[in-house]
Amino acid sequence: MTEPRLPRPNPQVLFTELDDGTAVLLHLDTKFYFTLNPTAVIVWKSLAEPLAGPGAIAERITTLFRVDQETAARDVDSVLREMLADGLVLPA
Amino acid sequence: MKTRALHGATLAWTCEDGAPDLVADLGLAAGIGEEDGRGRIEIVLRRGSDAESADPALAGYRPSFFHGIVQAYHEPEGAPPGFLLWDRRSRFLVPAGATRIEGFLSAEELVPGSARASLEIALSLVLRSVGLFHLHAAALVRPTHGDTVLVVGGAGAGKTTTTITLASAGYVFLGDDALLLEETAAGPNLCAFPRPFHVGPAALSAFPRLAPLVGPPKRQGDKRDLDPSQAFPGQFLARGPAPRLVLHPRIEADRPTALAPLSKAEALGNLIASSGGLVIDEVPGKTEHLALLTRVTNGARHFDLRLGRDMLADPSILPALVEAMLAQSTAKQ
Repeated sequence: MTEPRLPRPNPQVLFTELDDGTAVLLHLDTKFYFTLNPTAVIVWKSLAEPLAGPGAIAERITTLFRVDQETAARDVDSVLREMLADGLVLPA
Repeated sequence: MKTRALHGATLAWTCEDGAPDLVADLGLAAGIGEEDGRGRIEIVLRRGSDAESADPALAGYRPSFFHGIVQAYHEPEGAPPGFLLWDRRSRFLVPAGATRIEGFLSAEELVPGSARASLEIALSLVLRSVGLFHLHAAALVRPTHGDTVLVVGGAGAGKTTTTITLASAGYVFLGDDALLLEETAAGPNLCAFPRPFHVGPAALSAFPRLAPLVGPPKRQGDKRDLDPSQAFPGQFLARGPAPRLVLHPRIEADRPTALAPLSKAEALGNLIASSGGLVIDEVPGKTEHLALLTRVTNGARHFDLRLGRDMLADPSILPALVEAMLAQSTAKQ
């Protein structure tokens, strides 16, 4: 089965990673900012890489954090849906 | 033309046709900081005509942002780029790429102080071009160790109460509401921007010695102006190093005063929210500004400061909490 394609970062969004592993996205069009926890940071950074899809990001999260594949997949799906709703990413 | 230093820049201004000296009204008549090569900023203030009262949008100016009664516009299509600031009576022009402000002042204001506020916004736009970025925050320095404490929050969050409490405990202050950020070879610095403190009734009840020093209540709200040089003589500091501790206050009167750690993302978010110039379209220096805020965030520990009524009854609570956090930071180094 083919994985759904990943959305792409909105070029109007500035990403700032901080040294405690969190990050902030600043949307220059809407002027809203969004805080990212370390898991969401992995999701965002993965969007810039040629990963196969959400499953590959979830796989990466399971190797970095103490979380099972099912939970990681659910989290990745949730983060991507929120990012799409807020215009932080654009549909593939 | 009068000239004074403003944190490395030379502020040069003139008042023509009997226009009031709004630069002096901003508290800059004596200058602040050194002149060290940021260049010259020129301000020309002159009397305007009745035409300044007309909405600039009718002449094709495009709305950009607003602050209180002050509305900012971009130039009309095809005109040289720049901002126009309008308080419904007076206008200020800020050409893009130039360090120059031209004010056309009406004899009346709909809201007292709005022309001065317009000039302050215009100046903050120009200061970006010379590497000085406005931050809506308070800052104090612990005199014994030189540690800077930054206090970040929106209107009514408790910045002034925190500032007065720490200044009363001997901290020196840069301001309770407005600062300028600069990058140096040694890292970020905080620069003072002179303003009266705006004190509410709760802070006055906790510090009754300040009551004879405050001005009358403002027309809107219950805050009063306090000249900090009278209230805390000898405790003003023009420039301080980057903070080691950042407090993000909020008032929750019925719970005890406490500090709780804040993630750096939440902290940077609050700093962005207190840096209006960062999100204005077509302003210079956005990348440098965000990088500066990021360095300030990474270089400090951040705490949510819950301000309770107990702190007003016993103001020593807050300095004790802050001292404990600064001591922890020192121990970790």
